[in-house]
Amino acid sequence: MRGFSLVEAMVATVIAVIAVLALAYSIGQGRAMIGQFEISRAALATAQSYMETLSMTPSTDSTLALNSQHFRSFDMGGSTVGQVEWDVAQFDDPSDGSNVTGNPKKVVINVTWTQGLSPGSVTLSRLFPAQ
Amino acid sequence: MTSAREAGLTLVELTIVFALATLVMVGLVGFYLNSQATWLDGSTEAQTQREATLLIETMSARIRSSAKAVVEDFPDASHQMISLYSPSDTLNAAYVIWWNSEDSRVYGGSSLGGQDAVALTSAPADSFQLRQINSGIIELSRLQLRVGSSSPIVTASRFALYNR
Repeated sequence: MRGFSLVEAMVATVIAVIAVLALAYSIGQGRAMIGQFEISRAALATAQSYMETLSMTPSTDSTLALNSQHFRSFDMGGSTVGQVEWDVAQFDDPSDGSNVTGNPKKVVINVTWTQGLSPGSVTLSRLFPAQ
Repeated sequence: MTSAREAGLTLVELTIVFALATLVMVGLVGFYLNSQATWLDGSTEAQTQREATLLIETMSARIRSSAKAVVEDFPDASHQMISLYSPSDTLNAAYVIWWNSEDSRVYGGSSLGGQDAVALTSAPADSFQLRQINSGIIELSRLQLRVGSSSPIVTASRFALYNR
């Protein structure tokens, strides 16, 4: 019949504040994930773009030389946000033993970036004809 | 005789309680409305991002299966349309993708403004710029989709004509 004591009121307030802060944090996290998805999508489009361009490049071009590494900047909205790297390696077809003559090349494109403190990456790979 | 404990609340006490309750309610309602707006913005942005990805996938599939592509300014120099030709008929376009100035959306169909034309995105596009790099590569130089009050979705990509 005395109503609430000061301690009870303070405990209730602290619990309510924690609940509201948790809600606000989860909303902020959700929003940050959408931002992260935006840069991931741009990175995928960039990786696809490079892969398409390489697929139309003559196999003898230096950008498709065996055991080579190539680096470009990953730009988004007019500013550089990361790096595009592609490696060209010999693919060993398991069906013909260790013989690699005439086997395709394996091109791996890796787009990396850092958003805030969290790094991210997208990797695409495709086999290209040897010649 | 009525004791002080049984006398109920005074007007001053009630006023203070109402004032405090109002403050708390205003804070909670403000928080709820802000959360709702943030959720709506985020949801719209995520949906528009998916639409951008879907448009790129659609263009990629259509262009890859085409034998020839022709990029032209339409309806102005800031926007382009692309006509895609099948390997069996390189005289009549099999599929066309263009920007419609009436509703600012990107459309696709068997002919420009034809009966089967469908909007490929529900979000309006402020930019739809295409460029032919060479006979085998088409570049989507800039696709900018509008997202309510958030910053627009901007993307770019390239597509190869594997069937040429």
